[in-house]
Parts: sequence; structure tokens; C-alpha cells
Amino acid sequence: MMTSLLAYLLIPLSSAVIIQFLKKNDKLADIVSNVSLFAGLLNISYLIFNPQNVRFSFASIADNGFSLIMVLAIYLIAFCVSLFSSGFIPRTKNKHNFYSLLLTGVAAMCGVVISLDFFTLYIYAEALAIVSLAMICYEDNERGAEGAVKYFFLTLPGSVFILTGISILLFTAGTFNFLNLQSIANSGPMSTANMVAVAFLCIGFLIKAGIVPFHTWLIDAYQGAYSPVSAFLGGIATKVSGAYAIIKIVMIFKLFESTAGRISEALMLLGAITIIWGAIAAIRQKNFKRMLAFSSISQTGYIVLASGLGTPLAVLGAIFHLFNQATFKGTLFLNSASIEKSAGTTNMHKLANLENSMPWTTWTSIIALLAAAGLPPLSGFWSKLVIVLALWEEGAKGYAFLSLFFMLVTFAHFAIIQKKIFFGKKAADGEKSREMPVFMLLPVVLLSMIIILAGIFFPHVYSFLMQAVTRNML
Amino acid sequence: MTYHLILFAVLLIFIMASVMLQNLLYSAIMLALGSVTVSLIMFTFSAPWAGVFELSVCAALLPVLVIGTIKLIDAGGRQDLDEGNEDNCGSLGFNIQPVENRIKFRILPLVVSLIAVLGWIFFIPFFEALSKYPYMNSLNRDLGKIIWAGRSQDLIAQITILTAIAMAMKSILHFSGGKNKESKE
Amino acid sequence: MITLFSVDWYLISIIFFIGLYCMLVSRNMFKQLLGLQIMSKACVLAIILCGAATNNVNLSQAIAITMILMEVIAVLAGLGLILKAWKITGCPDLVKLSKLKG
Repeated sequence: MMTSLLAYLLIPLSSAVIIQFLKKNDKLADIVSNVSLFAGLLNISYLIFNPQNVRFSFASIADNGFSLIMVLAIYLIAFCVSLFSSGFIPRTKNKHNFYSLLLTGVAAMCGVVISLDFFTLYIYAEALAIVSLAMICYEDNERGAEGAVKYFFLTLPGSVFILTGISILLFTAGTFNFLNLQSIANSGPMSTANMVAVAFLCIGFLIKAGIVPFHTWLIDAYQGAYSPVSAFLGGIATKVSGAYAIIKIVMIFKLFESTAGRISEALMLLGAITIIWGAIAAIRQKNFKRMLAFSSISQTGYIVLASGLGTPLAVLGAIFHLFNQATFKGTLFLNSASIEKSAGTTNMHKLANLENSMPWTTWTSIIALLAAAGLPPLSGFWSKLVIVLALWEEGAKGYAFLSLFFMLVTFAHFAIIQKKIFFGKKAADGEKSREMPVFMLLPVVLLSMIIILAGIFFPHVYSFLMQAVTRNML
Repeated sequence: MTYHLILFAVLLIFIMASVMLQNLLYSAIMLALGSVTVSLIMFTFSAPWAGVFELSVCAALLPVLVIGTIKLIDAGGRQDLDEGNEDNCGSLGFNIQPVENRIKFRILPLVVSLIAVLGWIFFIPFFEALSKYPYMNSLNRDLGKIIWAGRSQDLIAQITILTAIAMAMKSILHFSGGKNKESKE
Repeated sequence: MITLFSVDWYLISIIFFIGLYCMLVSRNMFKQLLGLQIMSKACVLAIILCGAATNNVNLSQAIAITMILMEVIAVLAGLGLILKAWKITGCPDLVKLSKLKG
């Protein structure tokens, strides 16, 4: 465990316990949760972006750069969800339980990204799964219960597969430490037993990430979840428990270089199938949240495709896409929660012309959608460009064309959402909708500003990520 | 070696019984017996601490919790039945056991023997190769030292997961009072 | 000559498959939970077996104790979830929960 980053785990954990004693006073619970997350966000931002680091092109923090950027994404999304839900959740609904769960989830996610050991990573991922399932059924209704039950019974087998992989690793390597495993992987071609272990680990984490043969839980969980919880899950939680671990495995075992080419090919194939399936299924959906869930599956496909390729450039693209996806899916799910609250539904046939009544929500959503589709100055364009370039460089031209083509299909999602929800003729449900209060608009505005800034300052981001990736993969 | 294999055979029988039995109480008890056998197998591997832990937790605590939940749901169901509420699964009012095809469980021995034959052909060569694997020599330290010094990062993780389950149970088992009954009426 | 080690692995993998089969075919949430428990028992046995075979049994005991804790926590969460689903739908049946559609 990186002890220098341990404070990012312990502070939210203690805040979560403290909030339980503030039962009577919801205002105080609001303040404790938001302040502790905001302080963490400021702290990690200063750690990464202070002027000295920028001047020396991030040379001093290169070793744990991947963990740092993940901690930044976690705190960013969690702070936005917390600030949003302080206005969203009514008083009667036991806010302090929600905040405790959120903060414990932040602690578990920080544990996942700062652990240096597969077994520790597994424990934190399990803690995150339990927190997520409690958050999914936070609202006492059938949708939430169904989402939680599906989440539980379809992802927990994944952790059993991870355990099987760990037990084989214990036999072949005698350790789960990342550094020791990396030195074993560097020492020669990978043996069959190690490959089987890595394959089991990959299956487990792919189930947790919601890649296509195992994606059925994800859609119902996102749709059934309480609205701010979908932003938390879709923005960061499933990415940390699934895609982060896949990237980490690729960085440690160097699947591309060694003889384990088959695992790398399988990952790339699964990623490509996921991109196709998610993008095509998203077009046919009628519910906004469900469409976003499918689109999020498709975006995760890009991460898995790039990490299956496994060259430093591709891993860089995967990490940057992970961060970008956290920002734009966070924005979109939070906006879907706003729409659900003000218009009373997320069915796209009943919504129209929200641009008149909810301008801020509309324009932040449009920025996020354009970033997801990959319009040039925005951040999503750069990450997809890096992925496509890496694929082209390694001669995987079919996959590169496929990625480019499905960027266009993502534009089609944008067109559908734009036509049906934000513009077009007036509808009955759109009439009574009203813009959200300023506390609930701040998070989405912050996130969309970060989308724009990460696109404009891409050279700095690139040098930071390049340092992080090359040091880790050497 | 014979003792070891007999224990494995007993374990297989208990586990298959727990899957095949229709009554959930009996299957929970069968799983507890299987858990006892697992802990005995751990003793034969000279891993007494894990065996004791398995015996005290998986064989003693879990069946109590599972049986408690089954009984709770069963009693609640009966109450509903007395009130004449027939909106339940099955034709006989509330039944803890949803109506499902028993044949899937009855053919389990067949499936297991199929897996056994296939596994003998395909898995055994792999496991044989694995047993000749040149494993790393380890410092076989004291268990306490390993837990406190070697795996100290796991302890923080365990604190996190215990907090997580406490918060999760508090949130899951918090029902908004009386809302369900109103909607039923 | 087949060693005892591979026979142990073989039996453990059969136990794992029984758990997987139970999770695949059953509709009852209690049975699903049972399958999960069986699978994690197979994993705990596999960890102990690996430790015993590589003369590293103390490390594997430390891992196994944590894994047993993890299993208890997963079962606790599952039971809580079953109680919740029962309160809402009145039945621990997975098929009853199928309201979410496109």
C-alpha cells in the first residue's frame, strides 16, 4: 500500500463514522460530507498541479501517477455527487445513511487504487461492491431491489473467479505483490500456469466492469438505482473495480510483449464486441438512463480494447479515457437525475424542448455528449485519438477503423438525445419542468469545465500520463 | 492419504445433498456439515488456524443466520396467508420455495459425473504439469508475524469492509415504515 | 503416476463446478447464495492446498482467514438483500423481479 496516499482513505472513512452520530442534524451531515470531500479534492489537485510539478513536467510524481489521477477522479465525482445530492435528497430520506455509504465507497475506491497487492485490491473491490449494492437499493422500491439483487448475484461470481486466480498465483509466484509479480514477468516468457491465473483474474474483473457477455447486470443496476447513485456507479465505481484492475494487470504482466498473446487478443476482441453491442443497443432505447448505461458499456469497451493492445501509448489512451469517461458520464447521469426530478420521467418519448426551461442542464449535457462522441477541442477526442493512433501503429487496422466508425455512431446517440430531449416540439412533461437550484448546477458546471480544460491543456496531461505509464511499465 | 480422500468424498456428498435437497433448512444444515468437513481437510493440510476459523464461523455462525432468515420469512409468509393475501408465488399461498423445475437438481449426479469424467481427461494433465512447477522458496514465517507485519495492509482493508457492511446493513434493513402495507391495502 | 496434489486440485475443481451449476440453474435466491458459498469454499480449499504444496502454509492461512471473513460478509449482505426483496415483492424468487425493461 502506498502509505503516502493513505490519508485519502482514512479521512472519508472516519467522516463516514462521524456522520452516523449526526442523525438529528441533516445540515451538519451535508457540511461534513461536502467539506471532507472538497478538502480532499483541493489537496489532490494541488499535489498534482502545483506550479513546480508543471514546470518540471511532472517528473517528481511519476511513480504513482496512475494512482494519483485515479484518486483525483474519485474525489471529483464523489464531491459532485455529494454536492448534488445535498439538494436532491429530501430530508425524510435518512440523508446521513446515504452520506455514510458514499464516503465509505470513496474510502474503498481509494483503497483499490493505492493498494500494491492483488489480494488487498480484491478486499477493497468487495467492500466497494457491498457499498454499491446498498446504495442501489437506497430507495425503497421494486426497481432498486431488482437492480441490487441482479448486481449482487451477477457480480459476486466475478470475485470468486478473482480468488481462483489469486490462489493459482500463490502457487506459481508465492506472492501477489505487484513489484514481485512484475519482476517475475520481466524474467522470461510467461508460463502456462501464470497465464491461467491471469486469465481467471481477467474474467473476474471483466465481470465487474460489465463487458459484453457479462453486461446484463449493469443496465438494470444503473436504471434501477436511485438517481444520484447512478452517477456514482456509472461515473466511477464500476470503472475503479473493473477497468482500473484490467489496466493494472496489463501494466504488470505486459501481456502484449510476452508469449501470453492469446489473452491480449481475447481482451481486444471482447473490447471490440462491447463497443459494437453497446453502441447499437443504445440507439434502440427509449429510457434516457438506460441509453446512457448502454453508451457507458460501449465506452468501457474502448478502455478494454486499448488495454488489450497493451503498448505504452495504448495504456496512456486507456487511462485518459477512464478519466474522461468519469467526467462526462458523471455529468450525464447527474443531468438525468435533474431531468427525472423536474420533469418526473426519463422516458424520452415524453420529454421534449427542455432547452427552454432548463438551459444549464441542456448545455452541460451537450458538452458532455460532444466529448463522448469525440469532437476535437474536448477531452474525449484526444483520448480516442490516442487509442486509434496506438491501434494503427501496431498494425491492428481493423480495430482502428472500427473505433473510428463507432465514434460516428456515438454522434448518432448525441443526435437522438438532442432531438428528443433538449430541442424539438414542446411536450406535456417538458412544460412543467424547472431549472434546478444553483447547488445542483454547480457540480455539472464544474465537470463540464474540466472536460473543456482537459481538452485544451492536453499537452500537459499527455506529459503527465506519459511519465506515469513509462515508469510503471519499464 | 486414505483419510484425506475419504474426507473429500464425504465433502462432495454433503455438498451435492445440499444442492439437491428441496427443503432449504435441510440444505443449510448439509452445507454446515460440509463446512465441518472442509475444516477437517484443513487440519490434514496442517493449517489449524484456518480450520478453527472455518469451523467457528462458516460451520456455526452462517447456518444460524441463514436458518434465522428462512424462519423469519416463513413466519411472515404464514401471517400474510392468514390475512387472505393470495398475491404470492405458488398456488398454495406464500411458499419460501418458488415453484421451479426440480429436474435441474435431480440430474445433478449425472452432471457431476460428466464433469468428473471430462475433468479427469482435460484437467489432470494440467494439474500434473502444475505440480512440477518450480515454485519460489518462501520464508515460512510465524502466522502472527505474517498477519501483523507482512499483511498489515489487509488489516486496514478489513476495517474498511467491516465499516462498509455495517453501513450497508443499516441502510438495506431500513424500511420506510408502513409504506408497503398501505400500498397493499 | 498421478500425484495426490493433482487429485486434490481435481476434486476442488469439481466442487467449484457444483457451486457454479447451482448458481446457474436456480431461481431461488437462497439457493444462489448456497452456490456462492460452495464456490468460495472451493477457493479457500485451493488457497490452503497451494500453501501446503509450496511449503508456505502460514501465508495461505493468513489469506484464508481473510477470505472466510469475506464470505461471511458477502452472505450477510445477501441475506439482507433477500429480506429487502421479500419485503417488497413478497417472494424470494428471482423471476418475480423483472420490471425493468427498455
